Amino acid sequence: MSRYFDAFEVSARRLAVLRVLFFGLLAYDLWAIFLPHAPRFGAGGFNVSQVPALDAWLPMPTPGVVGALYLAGGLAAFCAALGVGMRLAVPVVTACYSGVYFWSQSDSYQHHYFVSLVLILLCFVPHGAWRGDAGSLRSWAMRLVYVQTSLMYAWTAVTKCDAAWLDGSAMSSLLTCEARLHVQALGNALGWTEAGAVRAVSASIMVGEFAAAALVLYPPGWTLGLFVIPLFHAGVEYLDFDIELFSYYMFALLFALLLPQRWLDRGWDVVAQRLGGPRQRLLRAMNGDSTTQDVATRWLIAGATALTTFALLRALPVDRADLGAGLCAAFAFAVFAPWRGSSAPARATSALTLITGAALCLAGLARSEALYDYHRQWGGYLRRSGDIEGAIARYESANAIQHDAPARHVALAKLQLKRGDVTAAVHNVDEALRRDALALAEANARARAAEADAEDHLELGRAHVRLAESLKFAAEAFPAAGRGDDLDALKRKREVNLEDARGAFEANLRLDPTCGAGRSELARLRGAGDAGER
Amino acid sequence: MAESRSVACAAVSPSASSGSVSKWRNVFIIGWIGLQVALPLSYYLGDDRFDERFAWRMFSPVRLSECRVKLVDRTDGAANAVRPSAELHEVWSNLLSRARASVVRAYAKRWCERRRNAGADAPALHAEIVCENPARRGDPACAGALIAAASGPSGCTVTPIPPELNLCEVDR
Repeated sequence: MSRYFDAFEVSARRLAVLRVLFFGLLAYDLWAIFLPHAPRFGAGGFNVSQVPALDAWLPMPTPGVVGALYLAGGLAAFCAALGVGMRLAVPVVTACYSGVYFWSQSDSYQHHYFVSLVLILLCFVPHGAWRGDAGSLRSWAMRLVYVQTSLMYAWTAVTKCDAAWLDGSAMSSLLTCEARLHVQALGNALGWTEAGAVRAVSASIMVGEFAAAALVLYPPGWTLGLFVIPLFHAGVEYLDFDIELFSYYMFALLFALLLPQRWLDRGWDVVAQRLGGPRQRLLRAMNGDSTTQDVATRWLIAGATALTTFALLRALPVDRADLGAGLCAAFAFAVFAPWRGSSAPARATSALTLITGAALCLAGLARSEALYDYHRQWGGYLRRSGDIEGAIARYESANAIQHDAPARHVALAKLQLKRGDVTAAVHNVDEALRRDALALAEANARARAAEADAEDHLELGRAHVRLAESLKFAAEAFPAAGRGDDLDALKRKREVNLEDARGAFEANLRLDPTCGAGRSELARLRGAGDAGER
Repeated sequence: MAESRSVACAAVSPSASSGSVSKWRNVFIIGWIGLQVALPLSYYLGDDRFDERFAWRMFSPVRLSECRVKLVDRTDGAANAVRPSAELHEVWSNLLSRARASVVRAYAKRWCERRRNAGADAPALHAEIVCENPARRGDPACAGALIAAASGPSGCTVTPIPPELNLCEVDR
């Protein structure tokens, strides 16, 4: 066994490809997908770790601490993807990602476990190996990554050696309407019934996963595996299963692990020919003669990078942004500081890369839905658990982030009314009506365009329903505030919007009679009766 | 694996690694693989079908099985419903509704402690959890079994935690 692991050689270029794809995806995942989940950690003072026996010794996670770990982990992953500070970046991202995973079951998809395991193994790959130099190196840890991937596929296949999977009933429950149509079409083409086609797909997935387990461990089968195994993950995406980025992690990992070496070398040479020259010139221009850098300069670069990183990330509108920014600054400082024994010069390009990562995090989050979700979901939990003040603060943050788009103004106004703050509540109802009307106008324009599809009509219907709900609350809130609005006009306007919503949902069904979501929306409207409650 | 150009990395070559390091590395590898075999195996050999963590059971029928979860306070002899969703984040409520035993026990532990602190000598919390039997999800005879758990065909439903078990006595 020892030889099986000791003798395993992997090319440094393969590691570089893995570094860029895997850690790049991880940075995006931690910032855009994990961060909005931070508020659920420790909510209500409750937590169960992945190893409940340890719960008595583990501190209660908090949104602030978990959010800070996600921010720092994301920055470390970004640096790892670009090859900056690998010695520190890989252990830091592993500690942040895997640490939070094992700390709580509150955000535990199976692929979080898999990514945690892969990260732990990657910590044992020598940091110098990630540079992408020509040549190869021995790494028992990379062999274990292949073994781990194989074991995962094997056990997943074992799960499917089950009557409920093989008779197609489990697969049937998972299929969306659109996916079912495609399976039907496949069955028709082959002369099978729909049930027969579902059984065939189920059985082929099980066989495919056993084959994947074998191919990953059998180097001559890698080329075949490169084309066959991702099909399973593409199918999962096609069926629209909610498993976050698992398929994309597997695309990245399989590409890096299974790409034939000769293709990798050829691709590398093409990229190096085109980008190698400009890259070298840029490095020379920015770094100068870094080999003669004195210690004071290196301390200065470390300090300046840390300070800039802190200043950038401190501006993030999340709980304990100071802690997150502090952790990121500490990481930046540790990467560039000339610790004892560290003789490598602090390169300006590396410092700039790290600062760019922090700026990208800030700018990217500001343009995404992640921060809105962060505050909106937190506000929702606080509202349900009776913390009115906390919920108001969260909803105000969420609404500010959404600029002109519909947000949580009505929910906020309801809480403000409860608190007796009528003026603020009315202001927020007005703002809700303004934003809903803007969104409706945009949805209307899309639905009236020549190329409008079923989805456009569905969105138009939903925009009408949203405005109708705001109008309903306005009719309740305005009299309480002593406003002399024409309540009958508000109610009539609401009725018109509900009628228009029905029309839009019916248009959705005309364009997509089998799978149109307009059917469930119409049922919901009917279920809510004349009140139009949703 | 035959890579195109082979340059052994001194930092990881067997000749460079000391015997002790090599021994600990082998222990690590054996332990790792052992865990990755043992953890999923323990799921198949164990009693808890509803906790699939560490077993790599993606898209399993268990995940699709629905459960009816009721926590009942029997401290004073009467049966009063307890509503964890009133105080827990919905992710925990979801895990409770999927019969995750470790979450049920952790919630029970907290609830029982609070009841003791409030003066109850012998708090009693029972979990009445009935789930569709994952092994018979596709069986037409079991359609609607969860609704008619008491009167439906036997074997169509399972009770992951014995309802007669006082959860306040479990961790004491």
